Amino acid sequence: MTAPAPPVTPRRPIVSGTDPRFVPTLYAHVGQGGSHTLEYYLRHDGYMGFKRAVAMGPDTVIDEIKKSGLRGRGGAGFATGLKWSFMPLKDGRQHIVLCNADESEPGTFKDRYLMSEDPHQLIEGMLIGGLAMRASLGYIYIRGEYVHAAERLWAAIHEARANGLLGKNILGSGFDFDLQVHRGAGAYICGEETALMNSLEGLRANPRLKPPFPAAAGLYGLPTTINNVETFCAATHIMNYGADWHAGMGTEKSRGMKLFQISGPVKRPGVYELPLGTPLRELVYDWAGGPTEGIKAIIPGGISCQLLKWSDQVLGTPMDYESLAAAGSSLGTAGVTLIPASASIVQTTWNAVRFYGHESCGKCTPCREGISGWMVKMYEKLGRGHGQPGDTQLILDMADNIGGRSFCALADACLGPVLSSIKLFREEYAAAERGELIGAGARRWREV
Amino acid sequence: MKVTVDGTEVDLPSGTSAIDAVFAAGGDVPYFCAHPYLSPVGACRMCLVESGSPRKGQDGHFELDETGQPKIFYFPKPMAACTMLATEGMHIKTAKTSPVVAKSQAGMMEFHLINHPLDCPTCDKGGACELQDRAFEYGYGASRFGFDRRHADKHYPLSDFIILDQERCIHCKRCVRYFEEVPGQEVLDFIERGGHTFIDTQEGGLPTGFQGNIADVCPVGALLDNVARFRGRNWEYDHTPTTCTLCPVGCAITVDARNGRLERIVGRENREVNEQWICDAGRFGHVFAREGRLTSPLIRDGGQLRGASWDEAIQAMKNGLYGTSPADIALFINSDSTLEEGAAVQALAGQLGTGHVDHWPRYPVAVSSTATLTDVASADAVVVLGADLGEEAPVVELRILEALRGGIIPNEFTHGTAIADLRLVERPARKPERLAVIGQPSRLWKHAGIRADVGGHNPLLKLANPDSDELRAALTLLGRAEKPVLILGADVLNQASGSFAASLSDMAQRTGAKFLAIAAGANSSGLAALKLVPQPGQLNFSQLPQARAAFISRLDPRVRAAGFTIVHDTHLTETAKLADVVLPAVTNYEKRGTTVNLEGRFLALQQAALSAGDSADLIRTLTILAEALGVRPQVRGLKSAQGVLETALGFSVQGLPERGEIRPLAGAAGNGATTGQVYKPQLWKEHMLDKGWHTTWAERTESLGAGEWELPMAAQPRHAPGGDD
Repeated sequence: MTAPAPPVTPRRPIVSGTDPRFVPTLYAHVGQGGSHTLEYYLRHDGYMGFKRAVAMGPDTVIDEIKKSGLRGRGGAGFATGLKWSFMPLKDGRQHIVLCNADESEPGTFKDRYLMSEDPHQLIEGMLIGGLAMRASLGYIYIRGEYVHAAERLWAAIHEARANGLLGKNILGSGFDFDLQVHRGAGAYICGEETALMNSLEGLRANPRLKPPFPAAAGLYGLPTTINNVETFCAATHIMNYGADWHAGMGTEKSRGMKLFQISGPVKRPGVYELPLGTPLRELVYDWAGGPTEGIKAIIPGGISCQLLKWSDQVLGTPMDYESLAAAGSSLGTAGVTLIPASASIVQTTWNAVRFYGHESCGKCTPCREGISGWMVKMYEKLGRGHGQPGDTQLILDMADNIGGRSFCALADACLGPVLSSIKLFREEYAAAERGELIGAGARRWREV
Repeated sequence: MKVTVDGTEVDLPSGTSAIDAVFAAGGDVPYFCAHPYLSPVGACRMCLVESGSPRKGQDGHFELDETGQPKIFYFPKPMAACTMLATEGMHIKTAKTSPVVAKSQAGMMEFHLINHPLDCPTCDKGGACELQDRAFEYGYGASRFGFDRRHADKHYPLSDFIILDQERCIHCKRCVRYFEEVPGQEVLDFIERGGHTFIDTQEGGLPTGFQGNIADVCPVGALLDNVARFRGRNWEYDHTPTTCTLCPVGCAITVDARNGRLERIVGRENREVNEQWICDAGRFGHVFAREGRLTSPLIRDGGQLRGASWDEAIQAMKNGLYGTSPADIALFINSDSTLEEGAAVQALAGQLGTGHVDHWPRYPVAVSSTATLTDVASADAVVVLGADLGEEAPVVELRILEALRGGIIPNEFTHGTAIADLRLVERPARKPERLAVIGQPSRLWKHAGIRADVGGHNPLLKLANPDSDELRAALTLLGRAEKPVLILGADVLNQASGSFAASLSDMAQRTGAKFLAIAAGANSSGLAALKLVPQPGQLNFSQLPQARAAFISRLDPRVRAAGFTIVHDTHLTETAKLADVVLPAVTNYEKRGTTVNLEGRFLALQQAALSAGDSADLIRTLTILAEALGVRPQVRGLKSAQGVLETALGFSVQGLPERGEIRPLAGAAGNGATTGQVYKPQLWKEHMLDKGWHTTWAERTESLGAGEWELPMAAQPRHAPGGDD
């Protein structure tokens, strides 16, 4: 008879920013004087991750990223290691690493500080990505409005080039890599990966047909992998501290740290680096200092996510991909926006719909005519107090004809706030159909 | 590959798109953005279908449902059929069996129509409009859109020939893709975005050459043929499918006539010749068929030409030819005449015993092409020798460009050309290194990887004996390619001498290249095969002034014969003004017959319902001439002409398939009758620019700038105002 095995201490993952084991990395240097310079970066163990990656070799790097459980931080949450492994191995073609820095989702503002305050960690992350995916060319497609960030990036790239961190045979590793920064001209659709590639090629930013997927034929028809700024930066730190360190944070399927942004009527709006799985309550109250006025709804991950009603239950939701999906929304870019009780939900949704209507590229019919043409007009009618009975039902029916029928995800993204607001705040829509708008701030919109 | 569409199983080749699977199964889905010869983009989202495939389980076998059949896993949402590849075992449900699809399509149609002006009663496309048809078949029948429609420019001329109505546009992008993919011109694009998107050019104007095709591809009335604008409703036109004879390509066209007036020409599909595209000269250069036509014979009376009846004309010919030996009468015809007309000329010449028979334009040699236009489009190397294709055979240029973008010819199914061939991609990579152009600079130069200007030298001899890097590169290109094609143009064929055939076959053997000789006239290869050329010692067309008497059909040499001259023409040309008798002719749009294009393809002409007074075709006119001369020729009508042709060619030209048929032309290569003059093809110049007997587009557009030009309007009704009959 054998003695029972000693109970294994279950690994206790870090799911709170207040956990003493949690150390911020992505934003560790944001706000420090001179943090954007190479000299500062090297002083703080800069480019050590890249050196480790060189020592590991490309295949091990991809395995390490897979092991870390890193998922795309741009919103879709696709496993990064898997995505990197889609690149063809030895096809003799030029491979391209693309960084999607066209951060345009309303409520999202994490990447701009990464790029303007700590640009070298992005460069290092792209070096690691380039090494892993056998790419010798990288592009950073940065949102046009981010002039300051673009200038910092340019400066950082010049510094890196001057110090042999970009160019031929980097640090004697035999690996060649160079980076280019391209400033966008102001279109939300350029955040869609294939539209971004079209835009980068100098074409009209329309999404492309998939397949072929970018890993087979992307930018200029060459194998391309595109990732968010935060994803590349996370790769830097995974190389620095190891896959286990990264996997030690977060929940079962959502590992690692995440930059949460919070905006709206809170005491301290801003960007907070926290482990995934941190409860919404901790973010709102402990970090952002709590709301400054009554709140009626919350958008958990950028404006394309479904609204959630402000409640104890929702505040208890761990902020990770699965829990938010279970709650009826999604993590998206983790751009949390609070909607005050004084606002009219109809008008708030109108604001979102107007944004999508303005940003629709016009390629496919449901988005061009449905979102950009009709939906905006319907919301304008309701939002200005000219609603009529049946309008909500019509919006729902239009949404049914748009959802899943459009070419890219932009039209579906618009339906997130539309459908969830109707579902959660049907009484406000019913009032709007009578020409009444609920909320103290509603009046000023009426005569605009 | 087995695919099930609405319960019907069809067997299809792999690579078929779902939309073609539906049509192959006899089903139907609406579509606007897909087009057989353009890349599928999935923009209009009308062709939504429910689709699903069986899935293999862990054990490698298909997962089965409760009935033991492979379980079909449907996509959660309807998918666009035009951009989806059909796969083995796929099930597709269209609106016929799926209420979800029916609702999606009705909803999408509602979206299409919310900003469409619905001005069908004043729209030229009405009755032939894909949007109209599909809205009727798949739409709700009513709109719930209670707002103002988008307003935009409704009369925006993109060029002199194409007018854009931005309100009617449904943004299918066919026109943009057409320009980018077919003639390779990046001129049109969407401007602005979202609901404000509209079609425009960046710099204004469209490049001439092939712009008219965008009026054909437009599924709505947004891009319209300005020449035919407001000239008739689609159901009022008499549509005649026929063959264009302005150049030797022989494009399939439809002639639309209303009240006996030619109003419009649109392109028609012939996969093997012009696919779907025709050139602007063929489309817009038809003004001559209705302006300034001769409608009755003219006879010279007291030194002046005066109108006369056919009887008077016969009498005048009888009198004028009295005493002239029939063997001295020269018969010269235009080489766009049909084979039947050629047979009639030959029969009459035989009867008269004259050898002064010629057709013009032609080159000293008639070369039978060994390459077809499909060979050109699928070639991996094309060398163009001494050709200005824009003036000689414009559509050949499009087929060459097709080869440069990969030579992908869309598949064919029982329902026709594939509606969406997924091998065609947007912005295809072009391979200019596959094209070498040798000769004078032309429009094709900017597409060519290898260019050599050989001045006045014979490009074929230059290629055979290269003395520059470009020529050597062209020869290497031909030698290395697997399916090379040589295209021979006017500069080669005009200079063809006795050794030409030998040097051509030598070049073909050295490189394994097929060759395509661009004939001079629309049917000159056919007429050459009938040996309608002067034998040595007889007069050729350039020797017309030496003829004792001549009958000239639709040729304008601006001189007359030494003796009695009969001119048979559609207009009072300079030559006709010098003639003794002028007989009114019909254009090739008004003929039934057969023509042979540059590949040696026999194509049928049909008679459009045009009215042209007392004018007569060549066969009838020759019969009348024979009557005046008192002989009874073997050919007196189309039927007997076809009989003679069958004897001469060895097969019947009746009942040709719609695409025509390539038949070997016996003895065509052998003739080497000199022409005595050089032929310079000027298709574009003659039909679009030259000041002739009719108002040309140059004239019209000039006055357009001066604000004098009015939209062509129907004639005012003759009855008294206020009458309502």
